[in-house]
Amino acid sequence: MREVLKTAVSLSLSGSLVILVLLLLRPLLRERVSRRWQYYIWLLAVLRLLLPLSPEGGPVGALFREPEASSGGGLPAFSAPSAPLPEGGDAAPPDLSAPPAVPGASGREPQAAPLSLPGPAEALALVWLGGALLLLVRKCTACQSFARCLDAGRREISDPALLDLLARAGAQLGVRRVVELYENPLAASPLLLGLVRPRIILPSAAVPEEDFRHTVLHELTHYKRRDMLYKWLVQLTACLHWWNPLVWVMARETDRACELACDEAVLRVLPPEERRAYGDTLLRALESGGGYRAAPGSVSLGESAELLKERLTAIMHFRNTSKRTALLSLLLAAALTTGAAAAGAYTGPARQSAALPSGTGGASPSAQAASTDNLRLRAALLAERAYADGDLAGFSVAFRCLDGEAQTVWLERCYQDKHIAFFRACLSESWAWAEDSLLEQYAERAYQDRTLAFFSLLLKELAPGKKELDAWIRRAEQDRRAGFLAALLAEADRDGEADTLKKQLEVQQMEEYRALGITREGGAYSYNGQPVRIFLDLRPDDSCVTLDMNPKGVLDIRVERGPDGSIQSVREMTGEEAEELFGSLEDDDRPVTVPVKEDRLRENTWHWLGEFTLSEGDRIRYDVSAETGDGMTIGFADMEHKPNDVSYYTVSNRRENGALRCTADFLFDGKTVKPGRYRLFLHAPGELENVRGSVTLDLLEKDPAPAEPPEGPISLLKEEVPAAVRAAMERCGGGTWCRIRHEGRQYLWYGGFPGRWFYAPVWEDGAWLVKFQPRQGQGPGYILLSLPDGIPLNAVLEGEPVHPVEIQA
Amino acid sequence: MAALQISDSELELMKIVWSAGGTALYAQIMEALAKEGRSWQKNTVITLLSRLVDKGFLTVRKLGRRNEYAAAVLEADYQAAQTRALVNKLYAGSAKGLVAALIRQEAISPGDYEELRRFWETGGGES
Repeated sequence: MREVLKTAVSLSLSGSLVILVLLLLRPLLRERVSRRWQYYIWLLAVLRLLLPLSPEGGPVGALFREPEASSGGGLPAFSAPSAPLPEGGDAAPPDLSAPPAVPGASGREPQAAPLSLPGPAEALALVWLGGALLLLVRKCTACQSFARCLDAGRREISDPALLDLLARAGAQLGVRRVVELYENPLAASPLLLGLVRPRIILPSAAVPEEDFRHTVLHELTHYKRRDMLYKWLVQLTACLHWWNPLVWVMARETDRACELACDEAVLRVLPPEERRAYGDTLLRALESGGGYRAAPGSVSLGESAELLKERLTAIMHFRNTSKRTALLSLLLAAALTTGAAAAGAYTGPARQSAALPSGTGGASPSAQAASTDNLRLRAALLAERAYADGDLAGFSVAFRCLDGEAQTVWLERCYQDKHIAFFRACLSESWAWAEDSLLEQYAERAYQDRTLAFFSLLLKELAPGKKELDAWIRRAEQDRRAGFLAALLAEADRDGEADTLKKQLEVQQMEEYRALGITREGGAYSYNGQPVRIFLDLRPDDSCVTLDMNPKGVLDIRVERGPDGSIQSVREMTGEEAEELFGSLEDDDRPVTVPVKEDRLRENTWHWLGEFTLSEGDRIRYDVSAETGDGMTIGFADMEHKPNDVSYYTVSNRRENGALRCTADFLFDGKTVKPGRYRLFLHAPGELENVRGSVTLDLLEKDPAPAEPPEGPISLLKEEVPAAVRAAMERCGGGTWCRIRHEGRQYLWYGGFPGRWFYAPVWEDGAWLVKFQPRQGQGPGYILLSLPDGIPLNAVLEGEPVHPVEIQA
Repeated sequence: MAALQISDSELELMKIVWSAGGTALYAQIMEALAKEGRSWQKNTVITLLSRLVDKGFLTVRKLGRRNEYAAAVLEADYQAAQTRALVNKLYAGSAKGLVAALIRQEAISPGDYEELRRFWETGGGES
């Protein structure tokens, strides 16, 4: 044991010498040799610290062997006058008093301590090894939890354009392996994880293309050079020599040198004119991470800013290595290696090498790895921000990376704020409440607070056994809590009873509604006799009692409930409330696709495809083809004018190679044409058949309803139409359907229709579909509808489509 | 049934495998992509394919040095799952509410309704 200790101390001393020399040389060499050299030269120190090889009579080895050779002369080794370099002595003591004591101990009782008894030397050796092991384990777990955290909240980047950029960067650097690409807002900066399954994690994929390219080049370079292995080796060394502060200086220096060397390698493959842009990328990366770093408690700002400054300086001074430099580097390396080897180490009396402790973890101890705390802080901030923004996905990502205590605090906060969605996220994302006692407390609270939604959630999460469930059911029965009982019965798989109870509840509910003037008939609600469009009944915790929609309704109403869940009043919803409620359903980022599917478009007709708000930056794509026909025009017309007068962004195509196809892909620049509201049209100058395709709109400003229907058909009396139209109606006669066009309007006419009818126009696939339904009773004796000309109108009478005769008035 | 969502580009690859009858060699996939005018990089396609394998949409088999990908999910199943995802998104899992709303708006035919109802009863309800 004592031998091991002696070897370790001697290695540390010897390594310290190398580290000191390298530190002293650093300012001299910084601009003279390549960054790569400055990075890998640290390997020399690492190897010196790890390998107990020594030439015969190396100074450090001799230092340790001499007192032993004098067989218990009682002289502590450090007072040996021949000690060649004082730095070694300076380096060892500051951390603990351990190293100096070693030689002393070895000198005093060489025989008195047989192997079995733990003497002071053995105790020291144990402290040393224990410390090393503890540090190593801590590093590994920190790395693991760091990687797990980043993996948990990661999202695949699936844009093929970005993946292609990554693939090209890999080819450029000669990296054959497929490197995965993810984004995670928790990452402070882009980073590379994993040796077996290498993956790059970006804080966000939404960066300029150039930045993205530079970033992946940088990270792939790390991968190509296996910097992770190097870093692990350095960390392992540092853990073994944990009591030597110089070793920790070395660890920091290699991290810096690693980034600088990596930058250098990237600059080598970049064209010279792009080098400045690479520096810009680094700066922007710091800027974008700034929001988090400025947080109190974060210590990395000073250090990272300093490193960045050094990196930027290096980029400015970058030049390719000359032959002279290469030679200098080689000579220097040779000299240093000889020196390091010559420093020697104590290799034991029998000169056999000491066994090296081995074993490293799988992840990389990157600079961030040491800062799991930093990650926690970022997670806490992100959670806070996401919560304030109502960003559930962001919250979930951040929440997973919080420690148990912080998670518990969030659970309570979500409960207090009655934020059911976030509460649910807390429940499903946490690993903190492996034991259910905390959740049971919440279930009890939810029961007492009568918050059924929370209670149901907790019930699902707890999945209580039959006994507990029965106890709950009895309690709910006693307390006459029908809602809770229904939830519990459903959970207990007593569906029959649950259904009966639900029906009872529904009847009860309807009675309550009736008392307020709300009735239901044939599935549709009415309020004071008027049909209801949106009917919303929420408990105070935002859980839903009733949500019903009926497009034919005229009223939006909302039932107000008190804290105990009983109905307080009913009132009409304001426009904003209704919008808020349904605006949230439409937060779809995908582009709007307007399908075009027309079997036949008559000569000189305008086919309307909806109204859209165009703003600068919108992307518009047409792809429509027709089987027969000579040409078509797709475009936007402004709202006031007829398309003949003014039309914008029109693309006209003629027949080519047997197919008529109209394609276009352009950006709305907002300059030649003012942003605003436009009507999308397809114009058939001649007859078109089998028109198929779509128009895709990537709009920045989404319309509340993507394809808002144009003006719909209205029913008129004969007396209300212009005389010319009336004359045309006469000509049409009794039993024929006619479409009469007159001054920009079309009139659908069918004389001789006995009885009453009603019609329900539906805007569907760019046309009004009107279904006429006969009704009992006396009617006007005809059908007469009017709508603007150019808007397609299809009529169906009792299931049969009608084909009107076209008449120009 | 794989509950995970796949990206548009992954779906494109799935469609190629589906239309090739359920199995396709890597080279066939590249060929089909080229035919569709996609000039994706080799590693891009490999990344997307291995994600699909991870998500359980594809299985991979080595035939010598070539990789053969087989669809582990039927196209119809995938579409049913998509419908369910839409239902969940819009109506928080209440397909009944969705169906009621669709019927009321006459947006679906009685035949569609029957199909939806069957879908719901035969497994749309599982979470």
